[in-house]
Amino acid sequence: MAHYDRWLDRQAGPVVRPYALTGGRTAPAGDTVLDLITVVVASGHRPVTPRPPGFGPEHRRLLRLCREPVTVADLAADVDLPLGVVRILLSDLIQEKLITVQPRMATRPQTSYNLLQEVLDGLRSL
Amino acid sequence: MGSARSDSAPDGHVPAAGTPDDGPAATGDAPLNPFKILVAGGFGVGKTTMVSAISEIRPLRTEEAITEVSIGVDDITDVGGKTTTTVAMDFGRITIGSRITLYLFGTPGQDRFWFMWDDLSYGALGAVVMADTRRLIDCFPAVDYFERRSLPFIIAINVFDGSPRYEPDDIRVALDLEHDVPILLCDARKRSSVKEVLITLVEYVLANPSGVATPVASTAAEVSVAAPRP
Repeated sequence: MAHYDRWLDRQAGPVVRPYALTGGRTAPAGDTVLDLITVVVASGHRPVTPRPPGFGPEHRRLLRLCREPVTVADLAADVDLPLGVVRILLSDLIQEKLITVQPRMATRPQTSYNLLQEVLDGLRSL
Repeated sequence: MGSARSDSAPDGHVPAAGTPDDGPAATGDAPLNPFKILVAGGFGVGKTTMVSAISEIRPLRTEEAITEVSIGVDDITDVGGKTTTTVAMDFGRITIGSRITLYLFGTPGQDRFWFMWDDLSYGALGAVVMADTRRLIDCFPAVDYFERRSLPFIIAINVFDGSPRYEPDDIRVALDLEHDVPILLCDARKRSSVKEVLITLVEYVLANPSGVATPVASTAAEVSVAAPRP
């Protein structure tokens, strides 16, 4: 029993190797760029039944967290999985049309001057 | 740092969360405008301190393929023939009003994590390069990187007790910086000081026509010194 407990300790490391959750894949499906602050949101489509092979509990957790628009970095922090793994799982959800990527309004050099001014005002009033 | 594990039970059971199935209620329309600011600088310069002084730190880690240089240095895991390492990142979030969120990402301090910088800097608003006057050389790589990428950056000298004091102009010469790059003294432990650093960066980006779509009358940004209060 004592030996058993030792292996179930958090210190023992991951119970499931992170990339086992992706079926061993180390690159996202498709060509959508998912950077740290890419915003994703559930499309409202229901997952097909039966679910595609490889659609696991982590996909469902992420899908639930995407009900509101959310960034990739926040999702990775929420589910406590490595960013690379989260990107792959999200790319699966994109392929299944369960989530969509919101167009980025605030990337350089198209950054809107007004939004930046809002950032500045917001920082000043912190 | 937490270990990687699935919170779902191995049998695939998912704890009930409101709805019985996956049915996502897509709200979808609320605009979310994330901005990204990088906090760079050498190892131990105070990046984590700065990020945590002004924002709520969230756990974020990544597993990245690494070069052979790192093998034997990092705790490595072999994944399907690819070698990866876990890198923890400083990740902080500041909510501004109802539609803007500012994200702060600390860059990994060690040279062997350079491969992550392109990803981190993609779409960033700008960067704060933290420097320590006792080890000024440590921030050279970050300055080089942001200059090459034309990403607006400012220099924040984290003033440590007992570290030599230099005038910002001396630092400008030592770092061979353009005349308009703002240089501040700061205390990374103090929220007010970090706030000043971020304000300076955003002002600099706004004053720098290449950084925004709408050109603004640009006056040469003056060297501003937010002197830390002892």
